[in-house]
Amino acid sequence: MGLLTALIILPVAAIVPVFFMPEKARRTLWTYAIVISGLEFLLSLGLLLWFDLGRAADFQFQVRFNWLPSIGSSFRLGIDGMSLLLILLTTFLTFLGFLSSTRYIEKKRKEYIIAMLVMEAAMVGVFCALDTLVFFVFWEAMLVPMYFLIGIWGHENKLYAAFKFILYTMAGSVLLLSAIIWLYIQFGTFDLIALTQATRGLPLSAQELLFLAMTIAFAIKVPLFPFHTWLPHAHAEAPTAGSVLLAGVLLKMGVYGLLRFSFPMFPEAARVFAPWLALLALIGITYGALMTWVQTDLKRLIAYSSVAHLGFIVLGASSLNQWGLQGAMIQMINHGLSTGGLFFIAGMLYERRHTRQLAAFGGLAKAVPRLSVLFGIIMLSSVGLPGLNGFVGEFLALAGAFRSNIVWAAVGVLGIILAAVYLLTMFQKVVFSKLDKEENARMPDLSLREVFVLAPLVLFILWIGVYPHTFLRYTDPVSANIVQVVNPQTPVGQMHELPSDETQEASHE
Amino acid sequence: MSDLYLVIPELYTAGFAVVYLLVGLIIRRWRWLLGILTLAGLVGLFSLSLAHLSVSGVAFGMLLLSPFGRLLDLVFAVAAILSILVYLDMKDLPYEGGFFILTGTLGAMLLAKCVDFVMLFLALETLSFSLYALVGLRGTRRDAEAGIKYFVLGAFSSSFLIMGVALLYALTRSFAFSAVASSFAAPGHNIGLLVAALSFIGIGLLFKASAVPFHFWTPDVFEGAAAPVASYIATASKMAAFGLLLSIFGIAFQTNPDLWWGLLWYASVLTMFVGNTAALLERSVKRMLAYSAIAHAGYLFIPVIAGGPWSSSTIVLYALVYTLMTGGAFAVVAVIGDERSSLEFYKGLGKTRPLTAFLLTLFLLSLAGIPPLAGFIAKFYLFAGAFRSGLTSLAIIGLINGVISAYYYLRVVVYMYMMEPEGEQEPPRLRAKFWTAVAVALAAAATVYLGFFPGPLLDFIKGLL
Repeated sequence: MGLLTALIILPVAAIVPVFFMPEKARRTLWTYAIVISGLEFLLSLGLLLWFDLGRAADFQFQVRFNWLPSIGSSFRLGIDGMSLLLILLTTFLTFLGFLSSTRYIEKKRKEYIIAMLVMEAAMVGVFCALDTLVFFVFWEAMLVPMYFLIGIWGHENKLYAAFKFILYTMAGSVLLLSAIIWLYIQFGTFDLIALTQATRGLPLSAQELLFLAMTIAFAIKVPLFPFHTWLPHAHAEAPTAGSVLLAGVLLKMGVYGLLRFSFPMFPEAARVFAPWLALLALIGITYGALMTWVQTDLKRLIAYSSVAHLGFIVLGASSLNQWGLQGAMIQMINHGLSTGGLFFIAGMLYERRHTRQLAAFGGLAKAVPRLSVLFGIIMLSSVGLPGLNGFVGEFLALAGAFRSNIVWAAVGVLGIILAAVYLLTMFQKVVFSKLDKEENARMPDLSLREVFVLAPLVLFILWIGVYPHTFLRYTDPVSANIVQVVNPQTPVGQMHELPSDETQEASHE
Repeated sequence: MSDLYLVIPELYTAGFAVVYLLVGLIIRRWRWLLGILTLAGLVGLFSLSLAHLSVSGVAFGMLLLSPFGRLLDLVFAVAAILSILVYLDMKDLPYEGGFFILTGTLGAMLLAKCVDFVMLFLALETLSFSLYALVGLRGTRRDAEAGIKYFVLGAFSSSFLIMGVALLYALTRSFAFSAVASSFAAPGHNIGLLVAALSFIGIGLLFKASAVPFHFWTPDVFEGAAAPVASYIATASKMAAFGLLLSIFGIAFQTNPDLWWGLLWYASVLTMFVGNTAALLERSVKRMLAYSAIAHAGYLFIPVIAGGPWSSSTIVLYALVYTLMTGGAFAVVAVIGDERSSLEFYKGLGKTRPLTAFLLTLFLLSLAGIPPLAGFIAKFYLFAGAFRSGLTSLAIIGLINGVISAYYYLRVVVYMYMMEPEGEQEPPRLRAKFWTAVAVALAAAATVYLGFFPGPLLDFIKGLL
């Protein structure tokens, strides 16, 4: 059976009782959803418990069932250190998402719970599929519940946002599917591990084509400039938990695809295209930051900041050395925590004031001190303040970029300054300026439930910030593997064993 | 004697149609009883075809019995079940329609197996005349208009077909498909006349398959006809046409495929694009499904072009899955109401009629090819095969079309779930009768099951072909 299969089946099976619960019984419904997603999170902690850190680069917990034997596709799952962290992030954020939804979702609660649970199963599936066809099935299956989440429970412009989201992603899927089929025809298998070995022998021209096909599909998901235009709409219009999962997990699927498929499968093409990816990432960092700066809508602001943050992740990845890749991997988790947290807070503010306009707020520090403090910590983590998680990821990503090309790093650092500008401006407008509106003064502070939503996020923000080694050691061997394949001249190893020159290792902080 | 043994399922269908007509005279007031009778009879046909799967041979020199043909019979049986059950629940339709669906099934069964132009014509007319009658059976103006339109255009295309057959006979002195191949190979043949004859025949067949540019009748007929009738035209009739196209191209045109290859390539691309773009503009669900049927015809040309053993297994798999989802979607449309097929009536259905809306969503998502539903498996198998056969550009065009189609399928979902019903109007009184519910449940269960566990079916089909 296997723990991974259980992780996928549990949310799907848990849907059945929801059909038979009365819509009116909101207490029962939410308790049920929270318990199920909590169980799912505990199950995923089981992965952590039995994960063999000594072999973190190997796929563990492998299971395999025959699915389509006649065309050689089998339902095959397994995780390495990178997948492990992403699966934990998924189950963690889904659980918090349910916890945050109990007041927010006022209509069609049953459908909401069903959509979220299907999403969860599909997201976990994406991160542990070891068969390209099964990966694609999960990748596509995730679209439908997200489409419903945006389209049914979203804000005013939800229909446009939902359509744009699904059509963009499906357009990318065509390329991904074509590449998967091409590989299948060439090598006669959908087995990811076997394919990753086999594709490295392909001639450069074939590698380049396949790399582009896959990478464009993943870049749409990331989203990398200029494929980012669906994101502000989808993120801003989705309901809170939808935005959290979109930013926290779905965008990571794009990066995950790059690191699991594009880079290790087509190393020569990766070397050719890495500078271009870095260029797009840098444009994304700057452009995203400037766009964020001028936003007046809180959720759109956070959405655009994702474009900039994901730019750092791609920049780190495309520097093709272990610092950069480690930075990309840890920053995936960081971004999930901090941007997820910002979306939770935007949702909480929206529940209180039914507006997302920055101008409507002001002086929250006096009115709602608890919310303001937690907001502040999460915002600073997003800025990349040393001691919080964002710093670790961005530092590593930039250190990697520095070793590849000093100009990239210079532009990237500029992006960090911009991030501080737009986030602090936003924070100043919302939290610190004069408390001049009656509604804001009467705003209730965080309830216990809401503290429970934010506190775990802050805990991990501090943990990763202070002692990132706990998390980095899971991805160390994975990133080392990728570097060895893609860029064999570069030294790899445990982060603290790497020959250091002028930069201090981040894991020693 | 042995020839008769070969065609037992066909004889059974003809016999059952007569039994239905006669017994129906007595029990027509009790539709539920008729429902049991038809379901039993068609399940009988299904099992009989299953039992005859491995029986092969040529009957009367006109019908080629092979596993491929029998597998398509299974598809026709499913299509007939899905449409008759829904049909019987519509009280304003005379019960005789069931008889025409059964004779149509006979025509479809013969059409998919014929290797002789006379048999082709007979089978095609058996199928077509049943459908003409079915479309106009309710006798309202709309039905009659659609029926006349279908009949006139259909007769027009049949005249092309018969013209082609006559010309071919004059050239080859034979009605057999294989004679065409040998006459191409023979020295001193008149290539111009041969091509003209085959083009005439091709036009007749493309009309049946609703391929562009012979597709204009489809949306009008579908809109006018009762939903189960439209469902039957979209599924059984069209799949029979593709079964025939495959065999005719495998046998008659095999000697110089280059001549037809380009023609079919363009027909495929045009059919996909016209079907999908026209569907984008439609505001009526029935007409949208008509254009969707055209678009799917475009995809089905790909295996016909590719040829080889892969293409027959693809056509069978795709036909079965397509029949299930299209039949299911039309059954739900019948529940919502034939006259209420405008998108406006679908607003807020997710709230007022959650189960109906959910099932329609299921079928539409499957039609859009979203995993893990059966439609994805069928599309995947088709396009993977197209890549493998070297039809890369066609496969990519098809995949792009799949994305376009997602827009109009999902638009119905948007209307059902993301828009509120207009004003305070009463939720529509829906007639979800027993047999309709059975049909929808069958189609939905199969769509989901084949999506998750396609392995056994695929193995079964590939084992036979």
